[in-house]
Amino acid sequence: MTDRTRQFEAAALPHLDAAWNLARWLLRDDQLADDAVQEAYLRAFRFFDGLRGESARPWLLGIVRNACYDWMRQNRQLADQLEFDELRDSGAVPPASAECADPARQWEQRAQGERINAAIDALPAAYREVIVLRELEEMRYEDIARIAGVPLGTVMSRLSRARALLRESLRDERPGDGTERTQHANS
Amino acid sequence: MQIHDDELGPLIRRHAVRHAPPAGLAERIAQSVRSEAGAVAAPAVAVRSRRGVWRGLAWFGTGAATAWGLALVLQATPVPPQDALGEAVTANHVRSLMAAHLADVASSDQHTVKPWFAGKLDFSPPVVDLASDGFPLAGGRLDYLDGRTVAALVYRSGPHVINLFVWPAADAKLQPPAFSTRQGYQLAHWAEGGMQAWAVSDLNAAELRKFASLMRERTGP
Repeated sequence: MTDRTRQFEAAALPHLDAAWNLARWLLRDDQLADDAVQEAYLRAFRFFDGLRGESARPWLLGIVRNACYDWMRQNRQLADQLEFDELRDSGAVPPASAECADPARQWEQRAQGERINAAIDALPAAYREVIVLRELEEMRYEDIARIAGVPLGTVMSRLSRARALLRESLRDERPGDGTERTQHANS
Repeated sequence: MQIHDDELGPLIRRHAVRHAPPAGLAERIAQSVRSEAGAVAAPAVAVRSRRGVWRGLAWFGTGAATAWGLALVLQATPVPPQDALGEAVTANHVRSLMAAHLADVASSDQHTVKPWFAGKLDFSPPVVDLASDGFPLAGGRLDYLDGRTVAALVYRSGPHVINLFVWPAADAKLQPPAFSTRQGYQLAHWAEGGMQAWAVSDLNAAELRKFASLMRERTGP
């Protein structure tokens, strides 16, 4: 094994969890994410010399993101990912699948988890990626801007719009649920 | 349900799935990168742009210089430079975590782990459990470093993993612990009693120092 491969593995493999999480959320499919992540790592290896002095994590995630978008573009999977329009696409998303109420707290928690996952899944890709990078990978705004290839201000506005959409889609689902939750929280 | 601004983040972090990569993906990536590295080395020069050729030449020059330098160093001393060794130690640590191959013998019992190495190595690595000090033994495996098979002992500290690589030193010289950082990992290296040890972890520097000094106390003569 050459020094270059060794250096690459040490720099890039620790970020595999984050790379996978991003690709899996963007493509919503294990096999597609697998292909995209492998392809991205090969690309990253080819351009590894360009990395000097930069942080590997946003650099690598940017390549992973581009590999995912390339796939979506080639396959025209979803029109909104091809031509994302800040105004048009910031409308309401359909509420995620509703769960029927159950008094058991465990069930409540699991149902809540499912609702949150479904709500994120229903977001347009441009909103989904900022939520995943910010909330799950806990990345800085500057790094998210680099990964998504957009200005910092756009990251902020997408993030706040994405949060508003999530709140909306979670709230609309089960009216009258508020009091029940408060009781749980106090018990 | 009404969700406030500051509730949404924690709610997402607690409930949203952080998808985990399938087992073996890291290994498949490493393999395809290695075969790519092998393929690029030979025939690609002809089709490269002029800049590519220059870069290729530069790479060749670097490679040749490295090989020459390495040859000199190897001639002077059988031990590779600490720098290269530190890098190999870090790479082994990373691979052990990614490839789901942390331990061949998973046991917190030193009397299970130590005999496991017998017959697999031409030396007997010192194995101690530091559970009472917050570093429980998790197991051991064989690994490859410095051109030979070495013992890799796995310790844990909370969510952190420490890989301790042990193999015979070239001489019985005592080397006090030297600490370094590489790719965000902490490394400690020392030698005594004819054995050399490299510890690597994502622990903070102070904790790894504590681990190294405990290890030296317990395994020292």
